[in-house]
Amino acid sequence: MAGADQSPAHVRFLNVINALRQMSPLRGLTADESALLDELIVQWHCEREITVGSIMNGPKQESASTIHRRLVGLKEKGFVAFRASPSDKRVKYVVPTTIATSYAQELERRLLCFERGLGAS
Amino acid sequence: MKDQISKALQNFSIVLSIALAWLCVFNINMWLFTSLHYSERADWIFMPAALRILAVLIFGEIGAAGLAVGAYLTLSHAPTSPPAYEIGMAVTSGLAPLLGLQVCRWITPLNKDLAGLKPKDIIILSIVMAVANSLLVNACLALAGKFDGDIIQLITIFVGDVVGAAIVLVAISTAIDIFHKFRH
Repeated sequence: MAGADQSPAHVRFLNVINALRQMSPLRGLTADESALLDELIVQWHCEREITVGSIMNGPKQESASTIHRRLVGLKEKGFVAFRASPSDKRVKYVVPTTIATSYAQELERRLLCFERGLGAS
Repeated sequence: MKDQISKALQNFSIVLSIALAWLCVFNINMWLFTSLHYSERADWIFMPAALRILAVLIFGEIGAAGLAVGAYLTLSHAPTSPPAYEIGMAVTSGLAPLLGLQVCRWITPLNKDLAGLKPKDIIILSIVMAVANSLLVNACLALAGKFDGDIIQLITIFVGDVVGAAIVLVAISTAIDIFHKFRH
């Protein structure tokens, strides 16, 4: 199809739809994504680096592709980023973004407030 | 020869589709927001502005032609209205988003195939196109001797385009999200 830049209109259409989808006010985390994020926060606290493969192949009943889809969902919503290993580009680490870090800090703050509240009573 | 005819028919159908979509959304806008009509060319909410963004992003100059045709179809065509003025007003509807897109390419790098297009790019585009449209429409009115220095009209067109585009684009994005959720 004709276009100012001669790139296919269907490609431009799909990229526009993808951008529009990100504008949706319904783009909060799903329950599964939220659960995965909570698991990642625990693992980030315990371990230095977590690979995408270790999450996908972890001890879960769900398929690797399902878990990968949730990881990609977290990435699209800005909670995680994928960083390639310097020694092996095929290996990707899942790292927290500032949004995930803020979320974990906020969770900690609220739990501390709750504990103080219980202690006071 | 066959390819050229096929491409011409394709472009014609794109222009016609966009023009009809413009006509449809324009009439819905008039029906929903009659009370927000400021003047002949200015509304505080103008939903067809979203079509300018989408048509030009996806179809480029062909999209702009569709917008111009659609805008022409929505003009009053009063007997006293000069044809040159009406054509000028219709052309601004297609030209403004093209200009806006060019300006946007200076502000934020947009790939030719729009890969990596982000919501903030669409927001910047809608604002820049609204500015371009407001200025061009009023310039056209000034050339036709119909601009009386009404700054509120300038602002109304800008606000109408931005708010109207926001309403439509958020509605589309929500509909896409709901569709995807039901699919999975």
